[in-house]
Amino acid sequence: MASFLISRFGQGVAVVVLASILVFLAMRLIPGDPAALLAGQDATPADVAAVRERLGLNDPLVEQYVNWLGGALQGDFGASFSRGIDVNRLMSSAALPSAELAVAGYLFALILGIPLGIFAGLKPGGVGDYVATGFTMFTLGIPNFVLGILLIWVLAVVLDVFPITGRVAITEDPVEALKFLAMPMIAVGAGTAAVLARFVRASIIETLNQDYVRTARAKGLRERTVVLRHAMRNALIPVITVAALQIGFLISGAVIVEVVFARPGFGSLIITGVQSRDYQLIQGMLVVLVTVFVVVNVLADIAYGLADPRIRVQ
Amino acid sequence: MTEVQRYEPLWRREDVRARILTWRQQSQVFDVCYRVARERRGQIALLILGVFLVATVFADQIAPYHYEIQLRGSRLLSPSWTHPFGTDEVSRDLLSRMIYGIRISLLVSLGAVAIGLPIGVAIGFAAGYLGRWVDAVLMRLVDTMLAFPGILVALIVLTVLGTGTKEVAITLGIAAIPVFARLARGQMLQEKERDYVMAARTLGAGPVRIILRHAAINTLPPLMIQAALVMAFAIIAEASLSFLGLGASPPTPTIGLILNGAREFLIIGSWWYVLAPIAALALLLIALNFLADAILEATSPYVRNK
Repeated sequence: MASFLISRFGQGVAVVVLASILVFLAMRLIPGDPAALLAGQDATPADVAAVRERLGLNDPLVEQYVNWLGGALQGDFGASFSRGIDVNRLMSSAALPSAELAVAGYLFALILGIPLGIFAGLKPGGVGDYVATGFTMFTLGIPNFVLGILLIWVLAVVLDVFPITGRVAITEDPVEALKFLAMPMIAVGAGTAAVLARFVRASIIETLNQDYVRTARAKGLRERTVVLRHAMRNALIPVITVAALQIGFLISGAVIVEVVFARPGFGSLIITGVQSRDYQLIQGMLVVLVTVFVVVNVLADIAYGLADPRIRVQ
Repeated sequence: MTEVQRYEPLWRREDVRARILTWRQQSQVFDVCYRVARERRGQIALLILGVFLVATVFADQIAPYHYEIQLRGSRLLSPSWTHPFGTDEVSRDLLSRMIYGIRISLLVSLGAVAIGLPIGVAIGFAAGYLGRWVDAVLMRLVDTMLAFPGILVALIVLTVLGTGTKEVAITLGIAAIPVFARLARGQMLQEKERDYVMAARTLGAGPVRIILRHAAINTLPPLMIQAALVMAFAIIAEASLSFLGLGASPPTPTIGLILNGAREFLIIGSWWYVLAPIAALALLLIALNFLADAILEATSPYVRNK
């Protein structure tokens, strides 16, 4: 188990380091001089040169990268070019609303997707299966931000159940906060719920065809025991990996959905970053997002190893 | 012996059938296309995509108005015979704008495949066929790119390139490279163990010839499925990015920009404004997913015989 943990952890670190190098190099490809941008329009060449020196843009690339990485490890991503504020201050104020939405959307997806998949899988061709298939078709055709717009139309404009835009911190007023969170949460989580439902369905059908399930039935066990104790446990193990992989898509989906509902968070930050080519901001945010994504996947691998001993031995 | 051979007309039914059969036996790709065209979901997909394709190729002839024309006194009209999808806040015909918008969606998604497929497949074939350190280096890179969700890769590339429709197409092509590379590598790993590859190698064929002339054709069907799915991804991504203001700039009509404009007017009850882009997007995406399903059904013996 120890070597399994170490190798998974090592792979995760390697991916994050490589990703940070890729992002760092990509950002250097941006045409134009960031120093000139930062110094302002009426800066003299001497001013620009001073800014270049201060930002360390004259250093060799490797040195720049090492300096940046060293700062990043201590939570210092440099100052945003477009806003003039520290990137980590911008990010820490955006992190909470975004995390709130991502977690809520993920819970929504798990709570809707897994039971739906189980119902569909236990009785292929039954009512549950039709609901699951219909739901999957719906999410295939309606991407998350479009679903957000549809929700605004149906739930906020026509039925007037939820407020359209904005956010209330969950620490201030939980009930009000949930009202603001409801629609974005559905928009973010629906696609993931459909993927999970489809996967759980296939997994359940496959497991119910296994020999040991037939053995359990032949022993005369009650159907409930067969399904819950024998089939379900094995069917849900591979779901861990799929559910973890979905987190990346969920986070990138949340970035767009936030903008639809005018919620503060990573979404609006990334967009201003891309529009103003603020590479300090972009590279900081992307490295943080990738790290979150990789950590989640490593944790999922470990959970998978704990749940299924066969993986560890390999 | 002296009897003259009578030539049958080419278009006789049993003749055509026999010809199609020989083509199917000769070419796996033709066989897949044939099976897709015979399958229900494949037919629905081809119908929808066909209609959209004709409408967008002949957009100038079919669209009732130019997408920028503002019709005096027709602000935010609900659907009617003259404006089947209604009009927008500056009195433009939404049907016309949708036709041009779908054109951009299709162009961007085809562009993404045209960029991502050849580059990704080249990387994947090289990694899969050559193996060893080439494989190790290329796949590490591909895995790292796959660690980012597609939209995030797109955001990085857009930061470098700047915003715009052409930039979005290039960006999405780059974002699709790792997916094609992974798939092509897996296919090539399977193919290179086959006897015919060994035979070609024995005859002295080099790697480039073996890959291109012998193995490539056998890896096509899974790549076709992936191409359809990448097109669906590109259409969603283009709509998302232009919705966020990172794609085309107004007054260019794209599905994302129309949706962005429509969002504000939803609150005052202009429901038709969002309906047209949502319906077009849903039809496109469902058609592409059906197409992918139909190709899978046509190529995988396991699914086919079920």
